[in-house]
Amino acid sequence: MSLIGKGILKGMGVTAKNFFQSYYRKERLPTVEYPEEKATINQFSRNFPFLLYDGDDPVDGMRCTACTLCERACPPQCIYIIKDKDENGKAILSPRIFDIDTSVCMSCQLCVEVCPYEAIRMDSAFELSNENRFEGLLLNREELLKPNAYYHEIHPLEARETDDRMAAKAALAEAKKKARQKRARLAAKNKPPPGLKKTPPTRKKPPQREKSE
Amino acid sequence: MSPVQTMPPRSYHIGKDDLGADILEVAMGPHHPSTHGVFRMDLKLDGETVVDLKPVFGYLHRNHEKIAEDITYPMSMPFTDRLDYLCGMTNNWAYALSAEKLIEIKVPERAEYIRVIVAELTRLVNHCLLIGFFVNDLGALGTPLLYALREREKILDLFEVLSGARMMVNYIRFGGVRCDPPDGWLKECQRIVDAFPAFLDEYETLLTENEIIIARAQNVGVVTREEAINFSLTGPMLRASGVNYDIRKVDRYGIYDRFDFKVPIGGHGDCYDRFMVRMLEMRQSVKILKQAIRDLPEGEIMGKAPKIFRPAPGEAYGRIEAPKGELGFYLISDGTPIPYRFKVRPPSFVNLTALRHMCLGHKVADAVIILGSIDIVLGEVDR
Amino acid sequence: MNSPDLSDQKAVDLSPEGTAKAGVILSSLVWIYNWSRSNSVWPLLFGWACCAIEMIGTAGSRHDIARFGAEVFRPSPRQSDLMIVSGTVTKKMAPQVVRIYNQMPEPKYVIAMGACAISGGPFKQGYNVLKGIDRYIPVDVYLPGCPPRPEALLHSLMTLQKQIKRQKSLGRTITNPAYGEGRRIYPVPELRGDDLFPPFNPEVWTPPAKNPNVEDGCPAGRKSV
Repeated sequence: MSLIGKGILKGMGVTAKNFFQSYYRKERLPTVEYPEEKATINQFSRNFPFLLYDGDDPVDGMRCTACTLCERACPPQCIYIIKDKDENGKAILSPRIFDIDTSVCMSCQLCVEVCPYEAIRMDSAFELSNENRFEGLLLNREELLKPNAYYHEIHPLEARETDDRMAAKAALAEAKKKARQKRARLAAKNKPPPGLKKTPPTRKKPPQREKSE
Repeated sequence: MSPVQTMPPRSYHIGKDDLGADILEVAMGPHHPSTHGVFRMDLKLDGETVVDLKPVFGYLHRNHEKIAEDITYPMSMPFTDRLDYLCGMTNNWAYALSAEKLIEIKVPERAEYIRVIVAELTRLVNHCLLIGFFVNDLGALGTPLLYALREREKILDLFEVLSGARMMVNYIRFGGVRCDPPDGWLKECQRIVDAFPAFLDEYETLLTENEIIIARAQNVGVVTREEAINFSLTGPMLRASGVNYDIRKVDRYGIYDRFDFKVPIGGHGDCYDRFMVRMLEMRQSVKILKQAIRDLPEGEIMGKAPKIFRPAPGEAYGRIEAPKGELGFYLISDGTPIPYRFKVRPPSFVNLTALRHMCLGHKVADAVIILGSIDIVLGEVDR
Repeated sequence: MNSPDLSDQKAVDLSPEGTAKAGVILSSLVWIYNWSRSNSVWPLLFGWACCAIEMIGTAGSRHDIARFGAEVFRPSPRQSDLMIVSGTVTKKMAPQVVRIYNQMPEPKYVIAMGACAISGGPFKQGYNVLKGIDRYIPVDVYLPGCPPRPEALLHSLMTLQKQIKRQKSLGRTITNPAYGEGRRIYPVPELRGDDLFPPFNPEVWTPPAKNPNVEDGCPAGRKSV
């Protein structure tokens, strides 16, 4: 027959231990004084997407080409893109409108995974509480565009990897372009144009030819 | 003359007929602090004894299955996080498992090990938090729950480094996992796993011998072995009734056949056994975690998954031992990138069916802790 | 439905001219009053869905909402000042939410926590999901995120505290607890068939103007599926 109340006393011993150790052991008092101290986010945290641009001008350096892959991949359909058109009405590869509704976004990162141009990335900013339902929460293109330096600041590791990948891609594209120019020059040398000069077919063929090489 | 003296002398009778009292109907919920969300129990009470109980749910019916039948297979992955919002990782795994059965993707070794690690970490989160809620219902307001939340934050930090989010991880993909753990993650994981048994010791000293918990939870809400099988209960609820059935042992999905662990079994099937089974399961999870971290191989993390997920017409059912029981996803494909039928077999919904049986004859206050011991999450019950 | 006149003549405004007119004692009284009010916001203990877990996490020792005087989660709406709508409000649940809001005493505040409470969020396509709780009750602070981090909830609480400190607290204003007649009570919607009636409360919500950015009305992504 054990002492009645022994279990409760033991439990109280545990709480007392926790209480006294909270004065000198960090793991017993893990409180982060948030507004004064930095929040507990790390460089992998994600919250809402943003758009990246290179250089100084947000609109000119925009990486997005309005391919709408992210719009299709978004599970709650919170991305809205309209392609830009030049003055002749021809579509150009950049979005005129790029809206993300943060009041719908579920922070799933699927848009980042499908983007082939490394243009959309996840932001880790979370202090977004707002008193305006529509004006404050619907982010348009200008609010979404952020420089690459900001990306390096919030996700240093990921940004470095992205830059390396983009540099490799650019080098490859450069090499391909050079090879194509060389071929064109060689073709021009071997066959002086008798008058019929068709560039479109040669432009279409290179991908197939490169594969065979 | 004071009003007390004017009242007629009272007389007390024992027995329903003498009092002539009617049955009292109480709607408990959907706004009630102990119903773990938006759940309602329509109770019929004779005095304080429960004579009938009708669970009413659907207050959080978010059309998960219907939405999933409208979007492509990979797009449903973040929605599965929101099913049982305490255990995002296991939900992801169950869905990935059934999709992998549908199209037969080979998962690389390293990804399998990472899946085991995150799933067992999820089990730790779920069980220590659930025990906090359970004793909260018993009247231990705050303190055990605060300790559980303190440990949970450490594991959520691990998840955040790994996947970017604390709860809605969206980490496991068809054929592997999304990204490799960054440098130092495993070391940190090892440190937390090594320190966890100390917390469990403390938690057990705090709770298991407590006379109030013993008096309130033992012999309350008993489900016998046969009844548990008939109710098709799964998970810790089934094992607390003495049935040795763990899908990790029975199905051996993933690589669970490589680990050495035991399945804790209860003998009485009451609330206290369900609480103790979870307590002991955490110890086994720590054991699995230690083995998995030790054996984690190098290599690829993604198998050869097709770019566009378009399975051949057919069906698949993948199930895992989620912290709450058997979580299964049943998919029917008609050859398009969108599932024809998407069905979730939620463990807490099926376990909830035993609630009426367990509560009958007990007091109202016991109904609260019986509900707490089932371990329901309304996102999963209502979907 | 007795919505009081917020632009009452007797109310004290906190602009520099107003405080100068009202006198130093009165204005500092208002300041102390609002300061103490904003630092003892008692939330309602009620979790809807996923965000509720983060709300409980905020009450935990890591984030410790007690530092803001808001740790007293009251299970009864009669004792609470703040309703944190933490999760998806379905059509079955919406009447109860409005009813609980009606039971809260003035001054009362609402934080719509998470995407689901603001707009239906990821589940907005669902037939049973209310597209934003602000259709039936006035929301003071919107907190986007799915789910928002506990720090984000603390930030929204700070936003609310700033808002409270700006308010008029004397005279026949709604934010004066002594002024008992002006409790905001809104009609409880009714679930008829498969939709709520009325679809929204015109007193607190008006359908938004057409988004100037949207051209054809339907995002392109849906068409391909």
